Amino acid sequence: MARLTSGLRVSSLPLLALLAVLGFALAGRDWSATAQGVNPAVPPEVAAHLDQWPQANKDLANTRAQADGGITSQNVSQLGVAWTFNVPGKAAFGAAATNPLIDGNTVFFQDLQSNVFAIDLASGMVKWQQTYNADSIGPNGPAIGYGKVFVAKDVFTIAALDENTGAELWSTKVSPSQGTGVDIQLLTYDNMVLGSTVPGSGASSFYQGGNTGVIFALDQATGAVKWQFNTVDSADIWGNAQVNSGSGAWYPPAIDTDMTYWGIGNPAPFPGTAQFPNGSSRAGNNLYTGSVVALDHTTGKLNWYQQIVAHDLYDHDFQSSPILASVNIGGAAQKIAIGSGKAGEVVALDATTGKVLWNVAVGKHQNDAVQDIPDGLSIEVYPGILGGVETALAYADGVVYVPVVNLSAFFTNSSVDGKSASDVTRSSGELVAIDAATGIVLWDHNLPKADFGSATVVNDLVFTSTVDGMVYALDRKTGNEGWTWQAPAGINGSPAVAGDMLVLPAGVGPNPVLVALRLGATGSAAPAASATPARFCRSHRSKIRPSTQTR
Amino acid sequence: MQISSLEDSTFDTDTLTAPANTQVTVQYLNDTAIPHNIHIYNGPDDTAPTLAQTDVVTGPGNTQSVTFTTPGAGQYFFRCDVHPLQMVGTLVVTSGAGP
Repeated sequence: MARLTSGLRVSSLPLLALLAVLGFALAGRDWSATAQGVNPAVPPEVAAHLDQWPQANKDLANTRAQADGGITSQNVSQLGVAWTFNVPGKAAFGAAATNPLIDGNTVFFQDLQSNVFAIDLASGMVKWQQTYNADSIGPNGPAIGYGKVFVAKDVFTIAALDENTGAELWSTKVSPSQGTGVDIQLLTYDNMVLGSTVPGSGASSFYQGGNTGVIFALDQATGAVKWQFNTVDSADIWGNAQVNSGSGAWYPPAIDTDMTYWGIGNPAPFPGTAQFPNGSSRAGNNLYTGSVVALDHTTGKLNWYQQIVAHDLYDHDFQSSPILASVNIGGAAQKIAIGSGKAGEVVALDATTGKVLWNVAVGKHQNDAVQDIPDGLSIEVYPGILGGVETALAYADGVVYVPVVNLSAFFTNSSVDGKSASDVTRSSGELVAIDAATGIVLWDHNLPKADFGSATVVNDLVFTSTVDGMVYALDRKTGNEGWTWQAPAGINGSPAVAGDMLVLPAGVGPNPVLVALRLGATGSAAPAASATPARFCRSHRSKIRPSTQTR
Repeated sequence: MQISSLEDSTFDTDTLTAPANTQVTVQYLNDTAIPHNIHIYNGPDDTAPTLAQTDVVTGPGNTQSVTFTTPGAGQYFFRCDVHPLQMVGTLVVTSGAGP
């Protein structure tokens, strides 16, 4: 995904992802119920708690829709702080670019030093922790199933932990080189652990020539690799393996019974180099970057692809987890896959064939169609490298909810000004509601800052958050604000919701926390003096400290 | 040789036939709004080198042509690159012709 800069230099920090919150999901009632409720391929722990938040985007359809009747517009004002957990592990993009899981009475959470925590849902007390202290730019996060918790223990390695103790049971190195790493929240299905590598392993080591992202499936029992799919279609990486890199998946796939659906990242170098301006080192469309790929879940074989962003110059991943839904089109029910990404396009595809049904631009667009920047000229492009749709969409009752970042970047034909591109004080946000059958925008709610907090449907509300830590609950039908709350730190993570509780990572800034809000709770979380950093930048690695809880 | 996609993600035939060691032209009509192509491999599956392929295009009414010389007699795999599991077939090259 993105490269950001730290300080004043434009460096190749892969960033965006960082901000990325991981996804959560809601349930497209019909599809998710079919996919999971009667599907023996769903892990037992997940199947037992489908009414909670047992997967990154809640369900395999990635709907991020909680319809349990707990938190509604009638009682949302009664949300208060039940507990907070001080997140110890900070890295380049804060401490918590993930989606916690809620399974039974336990919250599973991973920080950006790759440390893993099992936390009591009711009290916030830590049941166990597994300390890795390994930098992750994020997104990252756990998956559960088969008595285990699966995580990236570092950017090169997947590990399985005992669900009850946190003890490591096995580990598998999935990265073939120092130039590739794992930046994705994992997913479990049919006795497999699904994830991907991306062409980078840290904030200063991204998009080195020759590195590509590879989707993998591991045996949940042993960690053995069951299949792999290289998300670059050519062995010489579009003609110049010395210079080119790209692709990979940053967010977990959607799954129906047989098929997995993945959003794929961008090609590099972007926009080019002095020797190869405007992406001239990588002629052609650069498959499968900027695409959705549908892969058979048992073999990893490509069923279809659809490229939305061809030969990208602007770090425009199509990275969001696709949402699966069934909508009425022309009088007939049709299964669709809805994807989006940093190009700021929301696209509905026929889930069977990959055919584009509609494509809607969201947020601000400027110069993003330019494919040939003249020598010596700098152009301002919307969306920039930290703009567009950075985090997860939500879906319920025929409507897609889309979080948007309006933040530009200045490009020459061989460089990007990372300082301004990562200056989130320049940003604004939107939450957009779109009719899933037609692509018609139903409402568009402006937000004062960038939305890196995903969309999350909770009954008749849709929640989102902005990078300054403000949490919003909007009326799903109108987009009107029904409730807001200032978190104690900025947010580039996504919440889990179950019953009367909302568990939210707030990991940006000096005092990162995992906050649990509960109806009727009266605790408080001291707000940070300024929850919004001027710029996403590296922070010093911190050691695990004893956690504290407040109630 | 002619082959078409007239409906969704399908070829209208799963078999093409041509004589060995002969220059032939495949005309592929995509009459759907879904992106497709035809990619013929010089072997029994998609691990073999490419024998010929057309561009990925959407229709309706979009015809692409590719000319190549058939190899020796045998069976050769073809597919749509966009739908490689759904749209597949065999080019049957027969003996009896050639330089």
